[in-house]
Amino acid sequence: MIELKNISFSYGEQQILNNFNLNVNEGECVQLYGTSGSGKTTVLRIILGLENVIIGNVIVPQKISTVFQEDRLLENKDVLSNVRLVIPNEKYPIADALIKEFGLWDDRKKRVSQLSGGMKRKVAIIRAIVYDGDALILDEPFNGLDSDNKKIIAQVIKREFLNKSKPVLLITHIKEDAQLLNAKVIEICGNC
Amino acid sequence: MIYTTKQTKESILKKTIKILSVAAFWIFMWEAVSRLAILLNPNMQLLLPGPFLVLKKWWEIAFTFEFLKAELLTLARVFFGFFASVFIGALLGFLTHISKLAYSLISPILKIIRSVPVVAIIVLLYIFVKSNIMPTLIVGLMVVPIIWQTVNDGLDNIDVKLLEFAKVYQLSYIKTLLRIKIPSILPIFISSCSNALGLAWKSGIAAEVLCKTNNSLGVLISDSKTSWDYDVTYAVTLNVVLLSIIIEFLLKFIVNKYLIKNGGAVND
Repeated sequence: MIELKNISFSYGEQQILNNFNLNVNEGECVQLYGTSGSGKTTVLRIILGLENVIIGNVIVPQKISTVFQEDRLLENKDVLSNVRLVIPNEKYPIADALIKEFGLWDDRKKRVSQLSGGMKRKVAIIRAIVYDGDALILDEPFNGLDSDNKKIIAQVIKREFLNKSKPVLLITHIKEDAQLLNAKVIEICGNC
Repeated sequence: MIYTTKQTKESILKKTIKILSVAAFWIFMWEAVSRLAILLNPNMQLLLPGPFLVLKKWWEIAFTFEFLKAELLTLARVFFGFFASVFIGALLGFLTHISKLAYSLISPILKIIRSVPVVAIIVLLYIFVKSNIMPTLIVGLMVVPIIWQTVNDGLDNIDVKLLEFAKVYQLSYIKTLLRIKIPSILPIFISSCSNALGLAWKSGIAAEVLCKTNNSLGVLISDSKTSWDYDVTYAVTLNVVLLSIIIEFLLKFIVNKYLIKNGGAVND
């Protein structure tokens, strides 16, 4: 599970989070919804240990699959190399199957820099799924994707995480995204 | 933008014509200045021979055993110094990147070496170092600081977002180094090597001239000047310039091949 208790965080003088609490149970999907600058990505960074929390408790699994707001892919490497980077050799067939399922098999040897924004997003999502973490965190995962692709991705996330009793945290500024994963919506509004 | 083969060929042809025109202009200027100088003072034929005379002299000496031996040994000294320095510089860059103590100790020395004029270093070291080792050592002193700085700064400035990704996905240090850090700095590293090689070549020859290194292009320049064989001086210098152009061309060819393969911008 993912649990944040009474988290307060500030960048310098600016308070971003004030006594913030979040609980995502096993097999549950929570959508963290809020406008730009409300502190959504800061929550992600705190969960991932990328920010030093000043006050509060963080309880998270050791291994977390993450889709960052930016794709964070190796632009000069091909799709296969990017996906395989985070997994051992024996998991390559699983990665190949997912690449096929996401419709990227024909582009598997293309450099990431040659892909469209939507395709890059899919590669980042495949990488997170095949990593097989004990929880999944998605920061604006559906940017640049059409509704059909969103549905395919949501189905895979349900199969690979929610149905296996792993918690999923969806961070987005689009409220409708929650429906795709039957998520419980929690609104974040910074330090209010 | 998509270029057709025809467009590429036209562009290469235009570029070649441009280069040849510029070269022809300067050869003409050289000939004109030489003739003018000889007209004003006939002794100037000795000091400022025209391009065709120099070319003739070069043709006479370029394929003699002595010259080829000097040429090969100069190339060997410079290239040995260059490759050893690239290795040492990269190693030092990596060391100062991972250790603040190493950075504090090493960076002032390398920064000082880089700012001291090459002639001053040659004169100072000539007291202690044998003349046949000096060119290699000077190449090392010129190249190591450049490569060190490139590797150190490159590693320090790698995209933080990619490093965060590596941390979150628990990539091992070796994997992060091989898959993220080294590929990130490789284009700038290759470009830096290309610049350093030009400097290595110039400083190596300068060391040979000043130290009178046996069996070297530098000593041929130096001796011909002493014996007033200025046409030989010009011919050897011409040879040095030609070698420099060939080396630079080959290096750019290799670099561009690498950059095209890895999606980088091509050097002109």
